[in-house]
This record gives sequence, C-alpha cells and structure tokens, in this order.
Amino acid sequence: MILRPRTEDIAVIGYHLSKIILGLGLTMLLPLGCAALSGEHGPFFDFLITMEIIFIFGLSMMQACRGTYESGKRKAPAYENKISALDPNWMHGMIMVALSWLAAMFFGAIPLWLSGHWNSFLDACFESMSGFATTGLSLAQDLDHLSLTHNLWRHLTMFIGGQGIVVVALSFFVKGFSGAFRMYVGEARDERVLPNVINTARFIWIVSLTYLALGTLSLGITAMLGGMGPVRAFFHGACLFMAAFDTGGFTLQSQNMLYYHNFRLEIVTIVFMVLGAINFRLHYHLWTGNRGELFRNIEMRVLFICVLLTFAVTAIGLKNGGSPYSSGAVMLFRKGFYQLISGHTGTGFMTVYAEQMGKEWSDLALVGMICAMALGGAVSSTTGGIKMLRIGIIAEAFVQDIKKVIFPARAMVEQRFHHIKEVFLEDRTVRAALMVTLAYIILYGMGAIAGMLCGFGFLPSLFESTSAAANVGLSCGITSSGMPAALKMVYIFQMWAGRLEFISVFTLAGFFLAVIKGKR
Amino acid sequence: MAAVFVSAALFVCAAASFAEQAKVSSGMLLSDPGLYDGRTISFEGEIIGDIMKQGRAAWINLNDGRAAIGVFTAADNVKGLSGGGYKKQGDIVRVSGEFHKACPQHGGDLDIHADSVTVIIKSAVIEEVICPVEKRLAVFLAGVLCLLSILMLYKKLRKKR
Amino acid sequence: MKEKSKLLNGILGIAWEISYAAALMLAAAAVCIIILLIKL
Repeated sequence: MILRPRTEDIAVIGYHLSKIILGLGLTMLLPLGCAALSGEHGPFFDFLITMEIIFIFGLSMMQACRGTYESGKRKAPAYENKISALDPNWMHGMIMVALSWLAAMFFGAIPLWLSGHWNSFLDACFESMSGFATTGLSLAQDLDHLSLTHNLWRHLTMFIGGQGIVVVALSFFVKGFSGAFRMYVGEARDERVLPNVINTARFIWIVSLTYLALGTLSLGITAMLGGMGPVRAFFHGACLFMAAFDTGGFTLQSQNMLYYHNFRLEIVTIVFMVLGAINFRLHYHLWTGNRGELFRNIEMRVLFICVLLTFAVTAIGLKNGGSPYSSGAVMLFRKGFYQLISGHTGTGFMTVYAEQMGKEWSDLALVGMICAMALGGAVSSTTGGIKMLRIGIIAEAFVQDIKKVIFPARAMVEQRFHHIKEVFLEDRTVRAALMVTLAYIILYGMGAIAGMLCGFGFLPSLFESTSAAANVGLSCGITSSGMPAALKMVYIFQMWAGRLEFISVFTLAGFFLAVIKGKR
Repeated sequence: MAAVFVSAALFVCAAASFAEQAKVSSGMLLSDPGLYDGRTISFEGEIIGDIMKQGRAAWINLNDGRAAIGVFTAADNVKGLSGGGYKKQGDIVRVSGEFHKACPQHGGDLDIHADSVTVIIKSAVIEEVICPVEKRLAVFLAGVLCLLSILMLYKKLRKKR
Repeated sequence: MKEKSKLLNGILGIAWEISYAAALMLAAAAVCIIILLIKL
C-alpha cells in the first residue's frame, strides 16, 4: 500500500527548495555585475528581470511553506524535535535535489531566452540544463555575437552544476540547512570527503577556487601567447577553466576549441579536464599528504587503462578508415586523442566540427568514442557516465568469478580492492555497481532509439544519446535547433537523469505516484 | 571575327578562373570538405572575436552566418582589422587561398591559408535595442518584490508582538 | 610550522595530479606512434 505524502512533507520540500532557488538567484549577481561593468544594458535588464522573478517566486514559496513547516515542527512531540522529526529525511532530500535541478533549468533559461539567441524557450531550457548538468550540447544561435554577460552565465551554470547546486546553496545558507547530507547524496556525491558535509562542501570550494586561480592564469597566459589581447585572454581563460575543470564543454565561440588554433592551449585544457575527472575525495587525500594514493587507487588505475584502450580503438578506427588525421602522430594526438579525452572526461571540447565527426569518422572510431563517453570519469567528480569505481568493481568481480570457474577447488580469499582504504568486494557492492551501470546502458539505449525514431542512423543516434546521458557534450551533428522538440526533451531528461545518477529521479517519480495513488 | 575571338578568350579565362577559385560558403566546405581539399577558394565572412597575431602570421575566424572557418594568413594582411562580438559587427572580408580539410601544418585543423584579405564592409557598432516592455517589466517586478518584502517583514514583526 | 607543511602538502598534491595528466598524455602519444607504425 502506498502512503500518500502529508502536507508536511510537501512543506518541508517546498521550504528547502525555496532556499535553493533563492541561492540560485543570488548567483546571478555575478552576471549582473558583469553587465554593469561592461556596459551591456540589454543583458543587464535580462538578468535583473530574472532575479526579480526568482526572488518573488522563492520568497512566496518560502512564506507559503514556512507556516506548515514550522507548525508541523511544533506539533511533533518534544523528544522528536531533538532528533529533527520534520527536518528532511532521505525521501525529502532526494526529491529536493531532483526538483531543484528542474527549477535551476527553468529559471536559468529565462535570461538566455530573453537574449534572443535561442529560438524557443525549450531551446533555452535545453541550454540551461546542458549547463547545469555540465553536458555542453548547445543550441545557441549566433554564439559569436552573444554578450559577455550571457556567456559568463552559461559558464557559471557549469561551475555551479559541477560543484553541485546543493553545495552552492549550502554555502549561502549554512545555518538552518538540516538534512544537508541527504541532499548531497541525492546529487550523486555519495563519497564522504570529510566527515561533515559542510566541511566537504567547503573543501570542494577550496579545490575549485584554487584551480580557478591556477587555471585562469595558465590558460590566460597560453591564450596571450597565441595572440589574444590580455583582457580577453584572461576572460576566455576563466571561462575555459570552468568548462574544462567542471567537464562542461561550453565555449565562448561557435567553433568551440577550434577557434583558438592553439596546440599549447589544447594541452593545458587536457590537464584541467583530467583534473576535473578526479574524485574530490582523492583530491583531499592527495592534497593532505597521502600522495601514494594516486598509484594505489582503483579509479586512477582504471581511468588510465580505459583511456588508453578506448584511444587505441579510436586511433585504429581513424587509421583504417583512411582519416587524414592518421597521416602523422601530432595530428592523431590533436584530433584523435583530444576528442577522446574530452569525451572520456565528459567535457565535450571539440577541435573538429560536429559534422566532420559524424560524416568522416569511421564506425570503429565512433565506437571507441562512444565507449569512452559511456565510461566516464571518477565518482564524486564533475564528470558523468558509469564511472571508474563501478567499472573497477565489476572488473574485479568478473575476474574473481572466472577464477572460481577455472580453479573450483582452490580456496578463495575474500577479494579486496583499494579505494582510499582496502574495501572488501562484497556481493551487495557488486550488485549496486551493476545496477547503476545497467541503468546507464538502458538510458543510452533509450536515447539511441529516440534518435532513430526521428530518422537518424544507429551509430550517430547512440553517439548523441550517450553524449547527453553521460553529460559529455560531443556532438556528431544531431544536436541542432532544428531537431524535433520531442528529441530535445528526451535529451533534457537524459542529461538530468544521468547527472543525478537516477536515484533522486526515481524517488521523485515514486513521490508523484504516491500523491496520485496513495492512501491515508 | 575578332570580336568572336576576344569573347571566346574572355569566356575561357572566366571559366578558368572560376574553376581555379570557387567561391564557397561554410555550408559547402563542411558538408563536402574533400571536394575542396587542396584547392584555392574564395570565402567571405565577418571576422569574429580576436585577431590572433603570432609573429609574422595571424589567425582570424570568419563567420558567414552558418559557421565560422579559421583563416591563417600573414599578419600584414590583417593590419587594422577587428573582430565582431556583442554590439559590434567585425570587418566583413573576402579571403582567397588554399583550403585544407586537415591542415598538416596546423595539426589537422580545417583551415584556409589566405594569400589575400580584402575588406568588403568595414566594422561598425551595432546599437543595442532594449525593448521598452522589458524596462517596464523590470520596474513592475521590482515594485511587486518590494511589496512582498514589506508584507513578509510586517508579518514577522506582528508575530514578534 | 603546521601551516607551512599544510601548504607544502597542497602544492605537492597539485604537482602529483598534474603529473598524472602529463603521464596520460605521454602514454597517449606513445599509442599514437605505435598505431601509426604497426600494420593492421
């Protein structure tokens, strides 16, 4: 029997959701400031109006829910108050996260749509979700003439989404934000970096801001060496950093990374893409003296192997397919490896045109790319995909099972793997890894079928679907404003579900089911 | 007789130059790059973004409305030119040179090595057009927000009493 | 003193991470060369 949620449940969710929405509104002060400084009056009004809408909506929602929330808290018995009876539980946390991402998509789309560079509000929502989910697929029209302010917002959405919307909100409303950990987990960050989630959020900020400084500096200088003026070089540097480290993939110009024609810049972005693919928990251990973990950690080993294997497949595919990129090692690296590492880390930077990838890359090369995109980076990083820890767990379990078949008489010692500490390879661990992997594969397949229903071929459809669901952002040409609205909505769903790793999405679905069918 | 000969010669010259220097669009280049690979082409577009000078050479990116193509040329050819962005239309130029589907000199980039760069339309400032409705909406919403804040404050104060 | 070692650990950590990325790129470059040399 499904129990229908109480009004108190909705109030708890609504109250905390309103705080997240207000936090999002506050982040828009940055583009607003940028508009004021650079004299871009149109964008100034776009963001002003959006902030006003957000504050009106957020404050109204908070007011509406506060009454029920606080009276509910008072009604709960005294002892329950101590254990926070009406503070968010797991269900609340998951639902809040799922809804806050949808809210972020909706409100984040408003300034984009007001700019006139997106053909419809759906296109703007697509862009907004692509930003927050650090995907990078873009439906922008005339990107080369988009204001700095709107471009800054596009990149900020990647920074915010990469950190985690909840993490950002936590930073504004640290006090009175109970149930934080449950929401943090709902955002697919189930690794406890530090014992306290507030400290975890702080550490994630320290890493991101440190690398923001380093990244802006190194990318800015490299861009300047490539011939750009200093102010623009550092603005581009900051934006490129946000897109690289948060493995997003938006760029300020329509040609993506090909705009720069700069090998050194490509190399520096590769460094930040790889850094963004590292587990934040591992960043913590490496930065606090436990440097040996880099070699022992299962994710770092699996990532190294997977990147090289998928690259080998892609490179062979390019060579056998007669691609001009196979006429030299430098070309193969700059076009083959760059696209591959961009895909594997879920970034989505491209140094080839999407049409070239779709038409000129051989089937084998595309398969290598699809596998790389599907696998992804480390858990609790800014990347998407199935993720390295799960691949490592499944691989270890697979090897162990084969050993059991080959050597049935041999006594098997409990298998372990190293992830920060020695972890036992238990059945439930393997099962959990397999379930999420299966969910991703189903999602990739679903999107591929949707693409084929719209008339696209199998490999391109699978490529684009994997790119959306694994939050990569590489395109082989399908993503465009002219694609069917239904396909846009499918990709939006995939970006959302893939980023949240399903659990919060399922919880939300269950919640709605309970509202409709539940009994009290 | 002479007139026929001259017009025939002109026709042959025109045909030859046409075959030598096809005027292409980005759509043509991207949909079938193999057809134009290694050929001398003529391409028109607006310079967008930055003019990236690297010693005696420079990179510019030309956008013809559909896509932008990278152009590598001598720094002297782009002296005094500027790129477009928000509120600015960059110099619209015609370049002529060899097209590469995967330039071996530049790590496989799709580019044009331009021998000549001719300005067709000079750069200009684009006036920002702010819809008056937007301005009014901003003021209206600000009013609503103030009202809401006052209401909330009033409620809070009444509760305290 | 503790602050100094904290900072040093942080810097070394960053250096280690960048070295990982560099090693990955070098390995990829090696893969490029190998694949272009061998006949498949």
